[in-house]
Amino acid sequence: MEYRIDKDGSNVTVVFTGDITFSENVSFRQILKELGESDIQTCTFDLGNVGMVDSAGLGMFLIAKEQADTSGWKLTVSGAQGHVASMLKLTKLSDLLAG
Amino acid sequence: MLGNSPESNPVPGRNKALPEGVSSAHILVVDDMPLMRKMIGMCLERGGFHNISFAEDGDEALDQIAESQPDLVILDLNMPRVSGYDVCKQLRADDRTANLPILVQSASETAEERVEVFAVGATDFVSKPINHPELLARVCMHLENRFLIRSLSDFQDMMQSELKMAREMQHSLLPETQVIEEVETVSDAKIEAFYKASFELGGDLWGTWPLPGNKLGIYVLDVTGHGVGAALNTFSLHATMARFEDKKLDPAAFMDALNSSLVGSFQLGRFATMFYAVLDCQSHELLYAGAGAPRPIIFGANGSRTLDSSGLPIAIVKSATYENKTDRLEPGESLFCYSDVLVEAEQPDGSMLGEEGLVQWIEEASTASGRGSSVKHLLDRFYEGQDENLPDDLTAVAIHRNEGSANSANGNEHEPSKVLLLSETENTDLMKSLVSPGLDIIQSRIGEYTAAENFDFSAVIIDGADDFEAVKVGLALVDDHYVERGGPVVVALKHAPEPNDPILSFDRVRYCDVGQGVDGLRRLVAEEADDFIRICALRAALEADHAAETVDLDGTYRFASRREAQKLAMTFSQASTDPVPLAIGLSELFLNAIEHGCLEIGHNEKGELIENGRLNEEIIQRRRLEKYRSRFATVIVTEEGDTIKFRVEDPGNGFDYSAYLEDDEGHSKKHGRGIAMAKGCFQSLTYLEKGNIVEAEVSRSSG
Repeated sequence: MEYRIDKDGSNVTVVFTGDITFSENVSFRQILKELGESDIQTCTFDLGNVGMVDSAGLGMFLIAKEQADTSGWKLTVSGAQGHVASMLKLTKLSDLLAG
Repeated sequence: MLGNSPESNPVPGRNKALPEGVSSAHILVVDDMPLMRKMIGMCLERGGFHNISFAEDGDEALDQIAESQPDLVILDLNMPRVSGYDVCKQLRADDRTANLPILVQSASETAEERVEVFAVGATDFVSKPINHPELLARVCMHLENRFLIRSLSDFQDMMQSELKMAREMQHSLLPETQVIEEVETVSDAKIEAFYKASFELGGDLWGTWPLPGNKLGIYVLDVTGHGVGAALNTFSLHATMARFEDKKLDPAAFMDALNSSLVGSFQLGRFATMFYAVLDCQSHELLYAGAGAPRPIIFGANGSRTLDSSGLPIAIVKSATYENKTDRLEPGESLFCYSDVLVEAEQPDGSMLGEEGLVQWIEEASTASGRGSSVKHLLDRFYEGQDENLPDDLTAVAIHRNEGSANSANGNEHEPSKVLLLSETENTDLMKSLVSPGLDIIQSRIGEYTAAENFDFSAVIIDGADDFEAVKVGLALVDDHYVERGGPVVVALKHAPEPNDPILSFDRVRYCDVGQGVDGLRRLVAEEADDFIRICALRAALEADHAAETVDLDGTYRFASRREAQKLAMTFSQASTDPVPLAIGLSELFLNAIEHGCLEIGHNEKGELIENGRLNEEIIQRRRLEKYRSRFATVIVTEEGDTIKFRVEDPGNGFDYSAYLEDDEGHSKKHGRGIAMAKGCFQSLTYLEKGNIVEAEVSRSSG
C-alpha cells in the first residue's frame, strides 16, 4: 500500500494505492498521526486505486472514524470498487462511512 | 602489571557486582605455557569468577569441551600439536559448540592474522601481553551476551509453546465429534468441516448445536486481527454465546445480544464478522442473519446461490441491529460457510479467487468428487497454490443434507406416526384418548372406509366393538402388502375375552383390552408404529445398498450412537443370505444396548418418550451429560463355520430378562416386544449376567 495526502485548506484527501491489509498496520497509524497533527474539517479516503481490503484494513478505517469523531472532523470514503466495494457493502461499513 | 587490588572493582566501567549467572560461568583457559594459564586464572578469579578450568593444548581442550561444555573459552593460538586455529574450526563445525564464545589471545599483531582468527570462527581477540582489565571487560561482555541470548531464546521457546497451547485451546472451542454426530442425526446430513489456526493465531471459529423442535444451529465467525489479542477476543465471543442459550432459535436476536454485550470489550478497530443460521430439519426452512461474514453458498443438483450475510460486524457500534432472512436447505442440498482467506488469499498468478471463483470451484468439486466430499476436494485444490502456513486462519464448513431424508435408516421418530383407526361405532372417547404428539390419527368407520391408494400408515387400530364379524371386515380393509411387511394391526377390545373366543383367532394381530382404560393402547400403538417405521427404513436402506460383499466379520466393534449401531447392523446383515431379518434383529439388540444400556432409558420411560415423540430429543440430551458422554457398547463377532455369533455388551445395569423370554408372555407384554422381535431373527438368543450381555447366533445361509 502507498498513500499520498493532498491538502486543500482544511479539507484533506488521502489517496491510497495497492492493497490495505493487516501488514499495512504501521503505515496506516502513520497516516492517522499525520492527520492528528493537521487542522482539518473533512477527510476523504480515496480508495479508487485500492485492489483489496481485508478485515484488518476495515478495522483501520474504523479507528480513523473514531479519531475523526473524537477530534471533530468528518471522515468519508470514496471511489471504492470491486472487492473493496463489496467488502464495504457486506459489512455495511459503507453506511457508517458514507459521505 | 596486576594493577587491580582484590578489593577494588576489577572490571572497568562496571559499578555493580556480576550477575549470578555470569560470575558462576564456566571458563576454560587453553594455553601451553603454565605461567600464562596461572596469570589468566588469577585475573579471572580477581574479577569474581570461580569456575575456571585449564587445558595445556588444543587436544586436551577439545576433550574437555566434549565432556563438559564451558560458557566461554580463552584460547591461545600458538600451541604444539593442535593449534588454536584448528580448535576454533573444529568447535565451529560442531552444532553443539557453534555458538560457544571463543576469546583468542595471541602475541601476533598482523592485520592478516587477525582476519584469519575471525575467519576460523573466533568471537573476539585480545593481544598479548594481556591487559587484565581489558580481558575481564571482554570476558564479561561475551558472557553477558551469551546469557542474554540464552534467556531470549528460552523466552522465545516459551512463547512458542504458549502460542501452541493457545492454538490448541482455540481448537478445543470447536464442536466435539459427538455434537457434530448429533446434529448430523437430527438433520440427516453429513458435516464436512475443516479448520486450521494460522501459526500466528487468528480469530476464526465455527460451531453447531442441536436445538429443540428438530432444529439445528450453525455459525462461522472471524474475529479481526492476529495473535494473542484476536485469540482472546475469540474466547470472549465464544463464552458470550453460551450466555444466550435462549436466543439460539432466533439468529438476529442472538446476534443483537452478542453485539450489545461485546461492543465495549473489543479494542478499537477490532470486530467479528459472523453468520448464524437455524435450520428446521422438518420444514427445511433456513432462518439466518449475517454480520458481514463472507456470503455462504447453498449448492446442490439445482445449481447454487449465495446467501445475503451482510450486516455490521459485531462489536463495532452499540446501535447495530441484525435482520433475519429466510431461505431453504432441502434434502440433497449443501450449505457451505467459509472464512475470507479462501477468497482473498493470493493465487499463484497473483489474483484472488473471489466469491465467483469460489462458487465455481465448489460446483466443480461437487461434480468431481460428489457433494459429500466437495469441501475436501476444494481445499486440496486451494492448497495446491498456497503455502501451507497461511497468514490467517482457515475455516470451511459444509452441511450436506442427504437425499430423501424421510426414508433414511436413522428412523424418523420425530414426525408423528400416521395411524389408521377403523371403528365399528362412533367411539369418540377412544379417539380422544389416542391424541398424543407422537400419533397422527386418521379415523374412519369400518363400513365407510375405502382403502387409500398409498397405504402408508405406521399402525392400524381396529375398534370392532368386540364383534368377530366387524373385526374380520376391518382386517380385510387393511392392505395386504402392509401386513406382509409386518405392519402392526391392533384390535381394541372392551372386555377381556374368554380364552376360546373366536375373536382371538386372527393371525398377526395384537390385542389390547381397553376396558380398564385406554392409556395402554396409546402406548402400544406408538411403540408398534415406531418399530415398524424403523424396520421399513432399514429395509429401504438395505435395498438401496446391495453391495453384498462377503466380509470377514470376526472382531470387536464399538458403537456409541444409534447411527453407528444402525450402520453396524446393516454391515453385519450382509453376511446373511437373507439380510433383512438379521439387520432387524441386530438393530434391535444394538439399539437396546445404546438406549437402555449406555443411556439408561428405562423400558417404560422409552415407551412414554415414543408416545410423546420425544425419544430423539431425550437421547440427544442424555448424550450431552457428563455421565453418559463417553459410554459405548461393544459387539464381539465370531464366525464358526456357517454360524455367526454376536456378543453384545453394554455398560448398563441390565434388566430382569427372564420375564421377557417366554414367547406367549412376550406377546402381550409391552416391554418384551423388542426381545420377542429379536428372538425371531436369530437361531438362539441368550441373556447373560445381569442382562447387560446378550449372545445371539445366526447361520449365514438361513438368515
